[in-house]
Amino acid sequence: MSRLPARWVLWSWISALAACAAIIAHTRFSNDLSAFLPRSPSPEQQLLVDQLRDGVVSRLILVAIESVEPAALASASKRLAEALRADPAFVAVDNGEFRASSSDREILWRHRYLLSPDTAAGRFSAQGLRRILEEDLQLLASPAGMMASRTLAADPSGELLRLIEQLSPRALPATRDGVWFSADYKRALLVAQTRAGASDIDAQEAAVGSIRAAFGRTAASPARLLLAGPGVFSVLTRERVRSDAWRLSLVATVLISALLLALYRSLRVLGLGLLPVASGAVAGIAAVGLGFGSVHGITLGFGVTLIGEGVDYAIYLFVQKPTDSPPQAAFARIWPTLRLGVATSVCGFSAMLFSGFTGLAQLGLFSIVGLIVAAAVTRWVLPLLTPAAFNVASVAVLARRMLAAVRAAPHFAPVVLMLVAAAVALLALRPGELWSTDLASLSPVPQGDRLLDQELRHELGAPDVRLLVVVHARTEEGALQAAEQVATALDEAMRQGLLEGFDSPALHLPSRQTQLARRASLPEPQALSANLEQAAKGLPFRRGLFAPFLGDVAASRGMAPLERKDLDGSSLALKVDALLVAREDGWSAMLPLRGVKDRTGVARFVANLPEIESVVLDLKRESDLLYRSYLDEALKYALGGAAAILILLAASLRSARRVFDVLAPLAAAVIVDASIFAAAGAQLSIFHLVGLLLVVAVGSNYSLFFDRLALSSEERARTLVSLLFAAVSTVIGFGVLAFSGVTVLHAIGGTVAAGALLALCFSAVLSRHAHTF
Amino acid sequence: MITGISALMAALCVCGAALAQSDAAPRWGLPELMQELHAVGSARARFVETKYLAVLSAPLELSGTLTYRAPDRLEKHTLKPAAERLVLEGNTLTIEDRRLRRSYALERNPTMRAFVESMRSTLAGDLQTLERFYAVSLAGERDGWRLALTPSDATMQSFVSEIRISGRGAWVDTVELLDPNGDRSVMSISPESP
Repeated sequence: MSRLPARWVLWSWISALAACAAIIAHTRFSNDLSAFLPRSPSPEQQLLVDQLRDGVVSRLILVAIESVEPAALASASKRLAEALRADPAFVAVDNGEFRASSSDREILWRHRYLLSPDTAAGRFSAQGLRRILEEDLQLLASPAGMMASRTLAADPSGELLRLIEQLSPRALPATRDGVWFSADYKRALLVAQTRAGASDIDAQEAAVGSIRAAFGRTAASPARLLLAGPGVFSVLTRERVRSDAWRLSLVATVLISALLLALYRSLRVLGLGLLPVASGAVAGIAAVGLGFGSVHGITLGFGVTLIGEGVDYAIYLFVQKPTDSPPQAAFARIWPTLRLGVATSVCGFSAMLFSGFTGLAQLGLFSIVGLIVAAAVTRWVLPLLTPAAFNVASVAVLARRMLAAVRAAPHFAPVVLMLVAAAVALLALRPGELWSTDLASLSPVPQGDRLLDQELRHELGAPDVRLLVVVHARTEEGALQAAEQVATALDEAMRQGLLEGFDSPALHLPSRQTQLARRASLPEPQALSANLEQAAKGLPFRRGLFAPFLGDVAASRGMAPLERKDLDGSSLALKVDALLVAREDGWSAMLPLRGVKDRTGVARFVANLPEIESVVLDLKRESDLLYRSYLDEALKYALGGAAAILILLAASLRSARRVFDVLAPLAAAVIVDASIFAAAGAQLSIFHLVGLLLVVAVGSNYSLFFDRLALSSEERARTLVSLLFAAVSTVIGFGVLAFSGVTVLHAIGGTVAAGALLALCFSAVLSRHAHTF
Repeated sequence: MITGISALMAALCVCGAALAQSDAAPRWGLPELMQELHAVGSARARFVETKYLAVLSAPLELSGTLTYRAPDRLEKHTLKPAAERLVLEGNTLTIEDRRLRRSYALERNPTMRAFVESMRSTLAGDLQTLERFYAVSLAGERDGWRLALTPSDATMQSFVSEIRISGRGAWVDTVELLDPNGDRSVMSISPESP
């Protein structure tokens, strides 16, 4: 090759990389479930993702302090809460201190007759009042009587108490020294609500950091801080994946580098070997960024795994380069095979491009672009940078043993057949579903942390919302009115025992319409006073006692309905904002359900209101469904990819027999690989599927090289050694990941390491040419 | 040991009174009173409770029975003017009237706990628990003593300014509750007529 094209090639490679880097700099990376969303999600799916991303439940951080005696816990809790309340990262911090918060009480007290669901015509008639006064008398006689007598004069019907009960969580935690405790008083409990949603991991990380720092400043050892909640878990997960991936990649890199260095005896060549896959990754990210506007974290993780095959390309080039000839010379023979190998992988992944799931389509684009670029860099850039005199000298020694092994390999064909038969039987007979459909199977949150979360949630009475009714309307008032109608239906469902209870934004902020109706039902002052006089006849209440009541009802008759802005600064505002949200095309009100016994029954009650736009959303079921359809789609497109590979090989090899020779070892490897995990009792997840796809990608190169017989014995020897090193580095690189405690790394690592080894062995054993080596 | 046999109970009370006269120790104080109360295994009595409330023009009068069984069960069964049953057992308080029955976990309701311990810990002679919630002072002698309990918790103080309990020997005669707003309730306890 002349000098000019060489320079031209290098410059265009470098400027292409720079362009990709510029694109990546402007690409947004997202890190939430939306990767699993179909391109045109259903309203339920969209709501689900919104809820998990920014919903109020996703923004709760549960905090516990333990390991010191209760008095110290209580003061630690107070100091921590005080520090966090001053931090703008938190919308609210609750540790029980402000339970009967004065601003809440103030609002409830002032607006009690407009807020109380009991305010209706007849409530304050003479008969109605008589009933109320008789009940009061009973209450006064009871142990709570002395307490009740305090608000009796202004609030004989006990509206305030009822409104407070409605607002409080069902089971309040234990308190001591005014702050929340676990039932055994071993932990002080707090709840912090972050401003950012759980999906904003950087913000969550900052929030978790603030809590830890504030605790460090305010608490003395040996007090311990425990944190749980969705945001905390996404932070921990990222930390764990990062630290594991980092640590294990380091181990793998050192091992592989040592191995390849022993083979190449040149640091420069070792470094060059990374260029194809690095260029491929950069180009892949840029392509997805251009095509989709943003890149899912999951695309990145899986994508880099899928183009792992690119590492092998350099090994094939370096090891198969003949002695004393330029690197380009190696391609004369290996390029057709390598090209077919790349095309096979690209075919395999291309089916995903057409998926309705953005996550899968991104993954398809990423791996196709990445592999083509990696192969192109190997073909046109690497030879320019490889020293002309470079040669892997130790091939001859290694080759002798390998040749002997490969010649003996075909004797093991019956063993492979038996293995495959056993694997098929195992997969077919295994009880239960082969593929896990539980989204939690993807969660790398360790069991211990999940238990802590449940424990704290239980002790705090914090919502663990699974089922909610979501209503939608054009205006805020419309959404509140719709929520009230749904509440009426749910009340009836409660009477029939279908559920235990529910919450609604309209409980805390009734619609204007409802408040006006309640206001209109309050009797005029004179009528009320007459009703009261009649009702109190013969009862031992002090005369004139209820003057404050008469005054407050009269005031309520002239009061403007309560609006959202009146709630500012109270915990009522938080509650309403969590359950009533503005969306692009209107307002949504959320009614979380408690203790649902009959989901379809409840849904039927809600569906009886045809004029209301509503859905009953089961967060767990919906997210499992989402994952399931993603997995189904991925499986479908993986099979589509297999069909594409078949067509490609048939077209290029033009021999059914050779197509079979190439594919049989791969199929056998995939089946046996999958059965290993099934035998271990694990359900397969999307991670295993990605691993198996990579096994097909790297394995197709092995079987293609075995299929295309080299002419000279030196070439055969070099081919074999390059395959061995490619496979060993794959096994090391991924095998190390199998030792990770993080589900995703463990699953992908184990699948690929075992699969690559199997693919190489099976390729040799099933090769028609092995005995001629 | 001794269980809820009322005859035996009555006998014990009589014995207690008799012992008080024959065995008037020179150093009688809070520990001795508590010890004596602690020795009672179970008791049953009638009560009449009068509530003087500012909101009412006439006092409210309630009556019924009280049953105690060591170490931690106390039942207040109101018969008049309306039936109501309060059962305190271990860490649970159950209140039951004609319409409904509610249970409260005391560890989750510290004010309620403080309130009920004034009675239960006194009957059990459990000074340690009593002093967790109240400053305790004793006046009088074995034959006619008066305990004054002042709540130590601020929340509790806003509901009860003082609880006065008086009795003779191992027998509690009256329990008086003073509300800081001037309301007051007095419960007199008398042995159940056979």
